[in-house]
Amino acid sequence: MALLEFAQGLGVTLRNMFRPPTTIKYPEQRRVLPERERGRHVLHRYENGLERCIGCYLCAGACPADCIYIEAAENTPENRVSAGERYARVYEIDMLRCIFCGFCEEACPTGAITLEPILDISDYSRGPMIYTKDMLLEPPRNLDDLAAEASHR
Amino acid sequence: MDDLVNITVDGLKMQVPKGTLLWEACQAHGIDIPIFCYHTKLGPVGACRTCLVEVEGMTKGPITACSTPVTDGMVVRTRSPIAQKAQRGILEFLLLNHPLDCPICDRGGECPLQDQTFAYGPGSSRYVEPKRHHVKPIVLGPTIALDRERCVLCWRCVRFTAEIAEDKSIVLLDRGDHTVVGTFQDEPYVSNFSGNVVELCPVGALTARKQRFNFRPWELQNRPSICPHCAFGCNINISVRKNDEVIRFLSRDNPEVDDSWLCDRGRFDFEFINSPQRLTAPLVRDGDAFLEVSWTEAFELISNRLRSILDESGAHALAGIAAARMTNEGLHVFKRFMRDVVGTGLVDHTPRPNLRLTPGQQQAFARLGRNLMPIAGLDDARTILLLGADPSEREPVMELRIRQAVNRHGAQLVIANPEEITLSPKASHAASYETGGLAAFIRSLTSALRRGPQGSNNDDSASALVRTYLAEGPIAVIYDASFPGTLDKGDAVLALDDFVEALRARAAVGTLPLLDAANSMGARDLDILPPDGWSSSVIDALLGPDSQVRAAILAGADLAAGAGEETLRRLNQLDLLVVQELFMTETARLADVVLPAASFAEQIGTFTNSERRVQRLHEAVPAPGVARADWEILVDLSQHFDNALPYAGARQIWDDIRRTVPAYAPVAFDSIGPRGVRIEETQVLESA
Amino acid sequence: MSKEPILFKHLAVPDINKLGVYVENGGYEGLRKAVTDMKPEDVTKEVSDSGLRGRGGAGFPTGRKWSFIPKGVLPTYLVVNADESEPGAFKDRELMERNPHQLLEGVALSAYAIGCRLAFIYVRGEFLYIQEILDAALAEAYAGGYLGKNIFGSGYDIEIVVHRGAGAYICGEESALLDSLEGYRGFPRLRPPFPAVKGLYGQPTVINNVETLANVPHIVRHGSAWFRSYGTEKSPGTKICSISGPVQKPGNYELEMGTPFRVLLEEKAGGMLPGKTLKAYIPGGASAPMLPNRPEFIDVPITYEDYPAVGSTMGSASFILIPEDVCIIYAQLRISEFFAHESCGKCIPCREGTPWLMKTVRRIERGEGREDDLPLLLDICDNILGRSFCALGDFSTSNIVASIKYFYDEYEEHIRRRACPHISATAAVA
Repeated sequence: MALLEFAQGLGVTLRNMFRPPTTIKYPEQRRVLPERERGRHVLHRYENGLERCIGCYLCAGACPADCIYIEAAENTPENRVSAGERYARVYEIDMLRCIFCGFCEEACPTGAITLEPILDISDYSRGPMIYTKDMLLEPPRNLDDLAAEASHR
Repeated sequence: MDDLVNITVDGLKMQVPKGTLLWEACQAHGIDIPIFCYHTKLGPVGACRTCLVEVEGMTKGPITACSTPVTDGMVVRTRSPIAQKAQRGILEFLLLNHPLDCPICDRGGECPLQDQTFAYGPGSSRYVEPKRHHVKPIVLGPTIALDRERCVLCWRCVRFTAEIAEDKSIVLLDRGDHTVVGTFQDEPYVSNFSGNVVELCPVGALTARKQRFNFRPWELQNRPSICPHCAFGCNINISVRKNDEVIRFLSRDNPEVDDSWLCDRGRFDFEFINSPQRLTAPLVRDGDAFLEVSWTEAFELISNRLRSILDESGAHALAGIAAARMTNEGLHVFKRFMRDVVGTGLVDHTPRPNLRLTPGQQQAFARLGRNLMPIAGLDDARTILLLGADPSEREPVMELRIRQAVNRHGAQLVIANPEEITLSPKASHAASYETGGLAAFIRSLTSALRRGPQGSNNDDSASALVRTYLAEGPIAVIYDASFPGTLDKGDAVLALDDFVEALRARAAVGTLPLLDAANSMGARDLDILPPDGWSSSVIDALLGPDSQVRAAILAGADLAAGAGEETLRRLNQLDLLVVQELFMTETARLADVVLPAASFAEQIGTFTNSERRVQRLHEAVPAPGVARADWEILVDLSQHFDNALPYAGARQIWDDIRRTVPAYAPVAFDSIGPRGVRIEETQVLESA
Repeated sequence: MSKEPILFKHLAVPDINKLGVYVENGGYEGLRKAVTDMKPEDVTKEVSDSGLRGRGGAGFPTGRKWSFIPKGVLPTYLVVNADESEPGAFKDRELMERNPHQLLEGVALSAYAIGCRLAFIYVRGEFLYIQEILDAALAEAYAGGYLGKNIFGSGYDIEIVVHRGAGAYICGEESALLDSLEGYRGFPRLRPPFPAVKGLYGQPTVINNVETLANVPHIVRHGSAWFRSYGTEKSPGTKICSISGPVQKPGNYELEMGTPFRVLLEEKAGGMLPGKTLKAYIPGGASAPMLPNRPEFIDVPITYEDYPAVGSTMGSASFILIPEDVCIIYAQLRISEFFAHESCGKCIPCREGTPWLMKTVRRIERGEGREDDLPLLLDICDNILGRSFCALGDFSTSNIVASIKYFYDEYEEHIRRRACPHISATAAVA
């Protein structure tokens, strides 16, 4: 009787010994994340290259962790950054404060900020953990990419 | 009280003065009715119709609460289905062509249209047609930009320029739904008061070109303060961003002083506070350059060199000049440092009128300075007499008070000036005299007054003026304390004093001086003057050819700015020049030690305005670097001398001021509320 | 009309516009009688007793209006509203064009009654030639001593100034008219203070319509009892009716108050043109609600009181006839376009509401109407009516409400068929 239970216990061990490990060799290997994973923020652009962000501060207002810092400025004909009059001259997120709740995404009236399945947010000191606008903003898509995308459709 | 009428609003019975506008009556009793075009400081216009309410017995539908005076027995319903339907309907109309890009709009977050739409408006619009479009923004003038799409045509800006500033610059153009705000033939909107229309605008249509789209209202904190640019003492709120950057000045309504208006200088001239050029650490001269040092090092250097100069040449080798824009506390500590710590009487303030008065004239000047009238008293004045004074140049908001006194309270404006001034077209009577002839002109009035009722029947112009305008009080006499253009200022002081005395024999009189800087009155009251008072000037003593002064402390006094060779040479010759400043000014460049001072926005303290109202400053932002308030610097410096000053805070200094300046004795620091405390005439008289 | 006409009595007299002819026909008798024999209060009393009501449209008792002028506040002003900007109205034009002295005498008389020594005639911008006629008549009257200093040796001075507006509907509204007269842009003024207390240049002012004042000389000459022998108890006197549309003889007809509309249509105007039938008519210019062709609406006596009883208003008695082959939505669109164009822009309901009404009606007319457009139109009207600053806003709603009430099927058909069933007719009219 007791022997049976012993064998059963060992069986569990034995079974798991031959299972492939759940850990992966990060960062050489990366896990496929769900599409709607709330990871690092990305600031988006319109297809014409203008930033979606209009510097309205609603994300900063909605943020429960107070981790978004914005300084707005006015678009000029020589320097048009976004649609409308206002754009974010400074846009910073303190990733150490962020709780990845996604409220900023919900507050955004233009769909400029989304939380993307990006998890590699780490560094050796606190300073670099404040992500500035150039780190958050997606690069302007060039016209060739757009054309290529269009041909795939 | 037969002046009260009984009305019932939403079941609440209230008694209100007859003739009160219904909206005002409701507001006073905590009943909110949405408004747009109405503004308490402007007359009713009844254009927006947002304030429609149901009144029992009405025959032509709901009425506008903003333009309807209450009548006895009125029964009003502000939230009945009829009223609600009307208010919703109007808000729907308002929003038809409104862009609804609130996330971009500068007014978003402090927008009455947003607030009222949430509170009273419909949830959605039934409008399917395309919205109205205009070119935007339109540059209205050097300070203001206009967005005609966001404009809801509430008439506030139009009425401000028509009724308050009276330049009639902003008008409505075109008709019907093509109506737009603009200026006549697109002439630029240039005004001393243009910033007010930005604050009046209930939407984001009028914006200050300096402050467009660089902040959102909810990231700002408003901190009360006093405008530092003139002696009128307009109340302001300093809007500060999270990063301690000053974003804007807003008016803070003090009906006793500014009545919610600001001039453009007061509103827009604040960027010096944020300037990266501000001094952030004490500097000590090293050859042609400056070295940053610690406060202690700076103080030790000053005290050692000062002591050796004083030992060699006596206390009169040191002179001190303070800026009249320093707080009362700063000035008081400055005076005590000079007189009690280092023992020199050579103190003065700048800018100030260079009067050179004889002892007799000094008494007359002091008498004039005592008999001050409240600014709000202009509203009660029958005649306002401007004697060689141009408020528009010196204390601009006073111009608006005078216009209001004339327009709403029927005051007569009499202007005596050698030249045309901004207010001249407003005058009931304008008298001219030759430049420099102010004293003679005043004397002609005085003698006409003294001739009495019979004598004043003479048909010379002075008699006519006296007969027509100075027969009855109250009379407000406004003069410029620096008597510009007058050579013998002492004579003018005597003439003016005599005139006021002669006038007082016939009518109630009050005077108001135009002064030079935010705390000129404080500097006067605190006696930041040379030992012989208004007879001489320490600046002359310091810069004169046979000056004995070897060392000087200049607190905010930029003597070298725009000065000639001789002044620069004298300042260079000094064995020790200590400058307390915000910036590396011309004077600071010549200094041996430069001490970084805090601006008015960075310290606690008080200013006394030209009607002798003591008003509080608060610390709105921290001072840059290790900069400190003027009084803190001097108190710490005094620790390196034998008679160290004992102050630990502004409150303590104020208490000391109360002990030494009897007129200020009744005013406890904590009693200085948001509207300040005016020191009444009688209190000054007792102290004299 | 059984009795002699009052205002149009001398219309057929050749050269009645000349002073001599006018005087020969009893002209300026009333004025002479008043300034030499009567006190100003007596004139006011006579006019009050006559029951004369404002002919501009509102029908306010004229004598009562004068009595609001406070005593002892000088100067007072009389302003004649000759703006006649109501679509369909052209009666004042004829009165001024053909018999200017009748108006001038009325102005002088009324001015005398209210103690005014400077009166203004505000004619609409388009009336350049009428200004010339009035100025010529004025010059004659001054030269003849009928107007000007010390008329008839009475010591009374009266000066009349003719001022031409710039052609805005809103300037027919009395307070906007004052703004315009003062040289400002015409915007209605906030009341109180009423013009009788603070009007032109801040002084007590009476504003009367041309036709109203043209009646005054006759009342003063013949007495109030004589005047009351015309018309009804509540609407004494006669009314000049302008009738326009596809009738045999469009034009102005002076009718005794209380004459049924049928008389005007069938006898005076000679009935409809051949091949045209009446679909609806508007009794008081574009601002009055239209009435469909039903016997009870055709037999309405023309008075101030009878039209409100059938849900419309007599207004200035400017009858606009709409024939059967005109699309009612198209007719309404023209009316709505007018109000949207003429809104002054001061108050929100009218400024935003009138273009909204116009755009919605236009959509329906073009066949782009939606099912909920009719309730929407009615609700917009409800949100304007009684909410706007002046009556112009209210006016813009009256015909929308009336046309939907009487011609609901036609609106529905437009929306359902996504087109105008009258498309050919519309094109013809346009």
